Amino acid sequence: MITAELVAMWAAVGAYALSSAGFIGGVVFGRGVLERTALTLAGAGFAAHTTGIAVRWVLTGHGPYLGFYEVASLLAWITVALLLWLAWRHRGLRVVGIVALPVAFLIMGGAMLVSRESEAISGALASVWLIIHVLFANLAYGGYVAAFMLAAAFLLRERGAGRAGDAGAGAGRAGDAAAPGDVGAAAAVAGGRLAGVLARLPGQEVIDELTFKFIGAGFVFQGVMLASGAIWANQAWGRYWGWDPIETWSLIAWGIYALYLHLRLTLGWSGTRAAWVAVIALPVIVFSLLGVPLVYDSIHGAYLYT
Amino acid sequence: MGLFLGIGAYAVAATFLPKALSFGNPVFLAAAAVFTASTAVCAQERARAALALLRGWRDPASPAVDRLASASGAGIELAEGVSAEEALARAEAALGGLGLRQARRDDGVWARRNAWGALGSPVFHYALAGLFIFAGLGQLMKWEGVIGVPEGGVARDTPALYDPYTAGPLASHAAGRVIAVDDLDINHVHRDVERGPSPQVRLLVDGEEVRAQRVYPNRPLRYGSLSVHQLEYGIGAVLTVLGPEGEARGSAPAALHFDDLRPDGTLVVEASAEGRPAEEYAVVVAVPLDEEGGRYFRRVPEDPRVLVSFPGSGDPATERPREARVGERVALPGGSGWLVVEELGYQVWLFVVDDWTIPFIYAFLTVACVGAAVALLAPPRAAFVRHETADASAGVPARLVLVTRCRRVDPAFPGRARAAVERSVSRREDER
Repeated sequence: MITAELVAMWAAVGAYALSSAGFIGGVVFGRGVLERTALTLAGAGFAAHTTGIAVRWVLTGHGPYLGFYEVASLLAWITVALLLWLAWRHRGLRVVGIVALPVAFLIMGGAMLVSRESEAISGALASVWLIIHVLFANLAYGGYVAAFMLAAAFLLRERGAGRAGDAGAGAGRAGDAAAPGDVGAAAAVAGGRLAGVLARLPGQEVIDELTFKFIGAGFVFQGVMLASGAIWANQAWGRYWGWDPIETWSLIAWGIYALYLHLRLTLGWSGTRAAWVAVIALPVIVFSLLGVPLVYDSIHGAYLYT
Repeated sequence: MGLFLGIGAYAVAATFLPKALSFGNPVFLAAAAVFTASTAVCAQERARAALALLRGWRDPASPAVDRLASASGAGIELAEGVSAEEALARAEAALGGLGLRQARRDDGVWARRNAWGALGSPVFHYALAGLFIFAGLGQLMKWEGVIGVPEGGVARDTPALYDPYTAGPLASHAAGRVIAVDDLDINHVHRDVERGPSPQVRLLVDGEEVRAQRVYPNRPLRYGSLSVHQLEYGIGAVLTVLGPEGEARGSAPAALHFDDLRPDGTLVVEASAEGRPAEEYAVVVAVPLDEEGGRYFRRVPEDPRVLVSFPGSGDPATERPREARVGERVALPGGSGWLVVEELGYQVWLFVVDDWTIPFIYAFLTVACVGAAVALLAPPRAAFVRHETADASAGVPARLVLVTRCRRVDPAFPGRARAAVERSVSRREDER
């Protein structure tokens, strides 16, 4: 069964690698067939990945939330799941695979290089709060990574629109009175293969709003994650908050997304400026989930890097 | 916003500093206090606006709706032959289809949804302010500490017996409580999960048992605001000093932590043996643990014995570790008496916290999450549709004017509302 899990996981890594190449090639060479193939490969990799996670779940008797291998694998799985969902909702959004698949491939590749030894549920972990905490951490990450992909697509096309504007195309910007899709059309006018691909995206206003919605959902999910973590910590250790580095960084990440929401809802930011905040915030949440135990001596490190 | 960013930047830097210097720093605490106050003020402002919105939207004749009715909005052309009354009726139905509750006025249709959603943001901010305030109160009024209790023994719940012990400036420590540890299961298994060392703990108040349970991670003993958590276990010994004639002079406990295991497989404690005649030498007691294949077992040895030495005594015979069994006498330096290790059993260290604010913290966290969810996922939306008659001189045909409110939280709402109303009035009566 270990072999089945390994075969499935490596198949997923391979599919994600090829899919990444496909998305990059599709954009660089402006070939739609490459993009479609890349999306199919991402789907195949996702199926293999799901199988691998399921096999391990059965073997270990617990979900994918203990140790770096399981946590990173789940984050990569969520990233690809979101890409597939976005592409299913709007065909043009499949182009965000150029961001999502390399990210998923790198996270997954990193996961495959560390110990895959199964960790038993210990007394401190045996709590329903663990499941709630991890579930909402992953939902929050999912919301944020989707927002990141959309914001990146927004900025790429905005850049194209800027070039089109420089070329005298008179393109409108998101947030102006321009109809959705005008910016994409302008980018296409500006020429270039990337512009052609980006022109297939939904209107900038739609992307901008979706980014906001994903961040809003992620913010609520992260709030539940923090609350459930506090309750769990108090049950397990007798303190609900201990300024552990991962707690602190998680709070900092939450604060950055709170800043995004304030900038948007109170100060009326939208479009490019808001998209930049969404892009800059993601590395912070990824660091708080995966990077903190590498830099600091954290109580959570025992669960991530064993 | 500046304060928010400042605290964030400080928090990043503070992760590299010891906690006492970083998050216990008066500068940070002052900034947190100001941030709490500004959050409360922000909540108050938002609450005022939300209540005004609730009041205004409840009554179709309110000034708030009047303002909306006269505001500029999106013009929607009517299909040929659609009367003003018919157009407004269709628009009313279209807005109803978007889930908005409608009300007719003389000058148009008023529709709104989730007015209560305006409370989400103030509730979230109030909950955060409450959370910060109660967290601060907790720091001022709680106490916590680690207390060691031998298996089968008791310990009075008094600050002097805790090590370490920290208490806020306003903390009070109730008297009359006793913590008893009846037994220790060093690898308790519950529902097929190893819970680790788990003592059976009893809490007595004024001699009466008020709580009793096995304590392990995620299952603390709770009594009011007091909670007792299992922290660590080790070996406890009772050392007694006898005089030259065998008369008891004093007795003291000694505790050995498994985390202090030495490479030679012994746990060592430099003990205070009350009643010994001189203070110029140390009393060192080592307990060799059971071993198998180079692995030492974290348990009381099956055949318990100790190695006792008195470094600094100047007598090579007593400075060298001497083996003794439990209850066996070991001569003190200079023939001044005897040391006896009376007992060797488990010692449990419990982490005890008394913080009455915790249920409030949980409540505020829950309310904050609900508030944020309402604010972001169920925002209030409103629309007003009025009919404008044709103005031949300006070349403007008869049309509907749609005014919407909900731009920032649901920026697509104006478009959705407009599309729905446009669809409803774009067909002639005979096309429907």
